[in-house]
Amino acid sequence: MVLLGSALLLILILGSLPERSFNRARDAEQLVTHTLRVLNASGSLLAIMEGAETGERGYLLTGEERYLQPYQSALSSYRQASQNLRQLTVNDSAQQARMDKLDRLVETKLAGLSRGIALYRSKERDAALALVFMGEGKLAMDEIRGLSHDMEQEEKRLLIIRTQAAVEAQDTQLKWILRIGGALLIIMIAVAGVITERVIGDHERVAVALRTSEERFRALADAIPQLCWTANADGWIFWYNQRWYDFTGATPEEMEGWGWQSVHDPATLPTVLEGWNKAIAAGEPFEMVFPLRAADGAFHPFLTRVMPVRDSTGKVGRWFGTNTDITEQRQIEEALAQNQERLRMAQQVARIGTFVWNLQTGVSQLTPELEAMYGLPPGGFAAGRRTWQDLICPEDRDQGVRYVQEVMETGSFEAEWRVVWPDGTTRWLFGRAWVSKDDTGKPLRLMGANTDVTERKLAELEVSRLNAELEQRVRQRTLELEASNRELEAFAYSVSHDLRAPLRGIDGWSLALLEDYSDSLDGSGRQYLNRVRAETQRMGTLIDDLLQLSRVSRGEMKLDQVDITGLANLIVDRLRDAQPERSIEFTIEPGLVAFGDARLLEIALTNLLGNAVKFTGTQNPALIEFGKIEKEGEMAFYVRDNGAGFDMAYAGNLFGAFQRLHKVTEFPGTGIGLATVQRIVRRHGGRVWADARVNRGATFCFTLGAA
Amino acid sequence: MMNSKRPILLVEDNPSDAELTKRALAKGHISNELVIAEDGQEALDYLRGEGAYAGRAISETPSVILLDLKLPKVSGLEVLRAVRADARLRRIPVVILTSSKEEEDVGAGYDLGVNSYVRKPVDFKEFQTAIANLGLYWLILNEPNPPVR
Repeated sequence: MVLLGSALLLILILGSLPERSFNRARDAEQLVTHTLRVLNASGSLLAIMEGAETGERGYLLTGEERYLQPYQSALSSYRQASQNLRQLTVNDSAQQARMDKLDRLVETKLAGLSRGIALYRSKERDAALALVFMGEGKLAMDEIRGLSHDMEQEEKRLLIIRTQAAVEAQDTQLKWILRIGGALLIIMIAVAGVITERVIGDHERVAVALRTSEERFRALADAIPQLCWTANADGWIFWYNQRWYDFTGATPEEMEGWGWQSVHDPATLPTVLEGWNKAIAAGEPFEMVFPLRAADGAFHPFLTRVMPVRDSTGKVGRWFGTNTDITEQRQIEEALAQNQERLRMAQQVARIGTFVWNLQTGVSQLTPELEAMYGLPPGGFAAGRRTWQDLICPEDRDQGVRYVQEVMETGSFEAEWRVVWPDGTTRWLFGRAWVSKDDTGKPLRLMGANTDVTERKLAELEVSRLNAELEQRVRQRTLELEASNRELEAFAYSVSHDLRAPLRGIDGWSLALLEDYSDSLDGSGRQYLNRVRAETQRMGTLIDDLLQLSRVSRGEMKLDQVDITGLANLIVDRLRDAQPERSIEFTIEPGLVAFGDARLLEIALTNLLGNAVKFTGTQNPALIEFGKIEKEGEMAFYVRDNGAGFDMAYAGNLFGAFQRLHKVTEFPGTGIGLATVQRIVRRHGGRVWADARVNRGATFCFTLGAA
Repeated sequence: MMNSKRPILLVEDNPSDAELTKRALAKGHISNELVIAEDGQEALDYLRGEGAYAGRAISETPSVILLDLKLPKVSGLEVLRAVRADARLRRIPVVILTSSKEEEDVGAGYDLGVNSYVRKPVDFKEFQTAIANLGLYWLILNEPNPPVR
């Protein structure tokens, strides 16, 4: 307003001036106009340069050609603007010099810009961006701004000087008028300058804000996993995010507008177009799933959503669309469906029935397999309004109810129970169930699985029946065995007691006959009676030996460490005492220890050493040795003598009962001793063998398995 | 030697053995009366003055009991048990005279408090020696027990 008022005032003053004055005033006006023109030209030149720079930067950042448009137009319009400014200041050599400098700076600047674009085009994106970020361009631009500012200041200064000069030449009245006018003009120009600057500044700030917002949007759009794009109100797509290009492998030129159809499946395209056009016409959101072709040629399913962006009047200004790749989701859905199918099949094949009982709603979900296990057709549970308990065999019902109560407390259970089918069949089921609870511990669902285990259960029952039977049989056999053992004991006892009694009688009465009636008998008669007595005593020995053989086979073994050297010495002493007239050299290896039953080992050693004593009867001195040697990798005890020995051809009979290799007249014996030795050794898990030669002595070796 | 005149009780079911024992005692110059009981019950009746021996003065205990193990009715070990359990009889020396040398029998005999265990050998000469020794020991060398009052 001030500005307008001042201008009107100035015009009124000027209008009231005489012609000479008017001429002068007109000159002054021309000066002002000139100055304004220079300021304007300088400003627009600066704006052109800034446009070029912004365009180039946009191109380098986005790679989009359309950003180069201000740069391209800057190249042509700068020449004109420069020419214009040069003409306006043609009479001012200082300004002309500044113009020269400005031209050079601009040229440098433009060269820099084109260098960046060239680098970008030759794929040297990083180098191009480096130019932007290095600030080289900014420095040049600042210089240009500085120079432009200098020129403007100079023009303003010149205007004041020129106006001053004109005023100097006028009369006083006019001087004042001109002074006031000049001052007003200066104020006007200053105000105009301020306004211009403010307008330009606002414009620039808005542009910067827009640019920032645009950059943010693009960064965001490129960061999201979806493809997205924006279209004009009529559906003309003018921008896609980078992902669109990455996915389709297409170029912005191919995609612009309605070019996207080339990456659609021709089969679905008509439906897509129909839907999209309808949405554009109605201004309504659009949603659809359709395939889009990837760079590798494969189609991916996409969920597409398009939203209209409305302006303040509610009119659709733009469309914003996203395409979400649902390949994975589809795959997961398919896998899930497959798994469910597989689970169903597995349950069918494995005959597993499952259920989920929602404890909140009381609703159960059961598989047909489960119902079949309870003898019901699919849906039979619900149809018959049957409860689980109803179907359990009455004997197991109470336990079943307890299971359910338990599972609510413990969280899970595992059990077997019987069910009775409607047709009366009884089946065995095995079930597991567990409860899922919420955070407060409140039960939500009871889930579980059942399997029909009738066959296994029957087999188990059969097995346990057989086991019981077997155990019964074992008990029976044990009793029988014990009985037969007792019988054997009784038999042995009888043999020992009852068979010996008559022998004693025979012997006793034979002796009585010899003693009391010796005179009535001749030599032969007495001889016969002595034979009777000798045979009787032999029979007595035989019975004793047989009893011993039977005794070593019976009875428990008491295994322990046995001082076998001590045992051998003890037996040797006894043997010496029994036949003090014999001269026998015993060699007993000291410190030998065996692991076995001491009583049995004593019997075995007594037999072996006794045999050695017996069969060395013709030797003088008799040499008998007891010790331990290694034979075929195992330690064996041995008894060696230098007696009669025997022919190894008959060694096979050596350890059989009643088997003798010598005549009774040579060496007495019953042939039971070695059989007894073998039985004892075998009961210890060992073996016994002999090595001998006729008249060269014999060696008996034995091992004790555990020893 | 009051003791030497008291009878010897022979518990033996085999008459041949009984006769031979009698003969052996005689050969060993042991003149004590020989009372023969043919089974365990008879032996106990004699000792307790019961049954066929009712009225016998039971304070007249035998100087020694020669006891076979394998007997009809009541076994030798049962007789031994009864004698040792009876306050009136428990001091009588008991010698087991048997064919058995089963360890169990020997052990059981000693457990029940037998004074001696002799196995009858088949050889009668040995048997005769054993009997003579027994008589010598139990009737002459051994200090007899005072009768239980």
